[in-house]
Amino acid sequence: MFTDTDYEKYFDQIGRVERKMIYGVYDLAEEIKDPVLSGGFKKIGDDEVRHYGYVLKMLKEIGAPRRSENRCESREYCLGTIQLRRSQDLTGRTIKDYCVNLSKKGICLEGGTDLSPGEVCELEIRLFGKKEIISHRGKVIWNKEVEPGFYIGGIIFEAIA
Amino acid sequence: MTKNELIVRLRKLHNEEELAIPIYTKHLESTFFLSHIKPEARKEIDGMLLTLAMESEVHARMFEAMIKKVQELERDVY
Repeated sequence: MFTDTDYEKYFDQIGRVERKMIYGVYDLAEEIKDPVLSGGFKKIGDDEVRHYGYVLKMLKEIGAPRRSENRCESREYCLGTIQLRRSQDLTGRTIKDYCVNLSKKGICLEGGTDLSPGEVCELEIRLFGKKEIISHRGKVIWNKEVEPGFYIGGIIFEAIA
Repeated sequence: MTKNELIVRLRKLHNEEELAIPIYTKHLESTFFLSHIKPEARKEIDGMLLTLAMESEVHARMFEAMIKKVQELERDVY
């Protein structure tokens, strides 16, 4: 028999698979110079975005108890790239991560970066299909490894003075 | 990006699509999967999972074709 947790884990896994495909294809579409290949990758990326929409719909259909329901402010599913700089890293090096969802108060992000709760980061977020960059500074609230070398976490933004 | 770098990236994407297909389809034949939800909703979910599997197969074939084409071309910068 399947429990509610089994279903949520299963559809979360599918969501992660789709998001990783979106990241991989859109990244390639941006990096490649060949306009024909780039257009092909964008089209596949758009398919993957539609697939991700199915996953969100399926999660809704099964009535998965989403953590977001406990948040004081709703978050939009806004996928995109993040250039992340850890404040403790004095070299100023930036790391690429990905935005899963975003609100005025915080962000859920994922990628190959193992962040520690409490550490402060500066973020430059660019959502797919948009040109503008959103800058924030915030503190890591949680982080967990969901697959070997692949982490998902949450950052709360510092209040804007 | 060089030809070899592009082929590596395309192979990675191809593998991800191939690995995703059994994940989408693994519960479709199970009687107990989603047995607690309304039949119409279950039918809709089954349909979406099937669409994901079929379109992943299409994407995998597209990546295969791209790999073949890039390998055949003498061009080295993309």
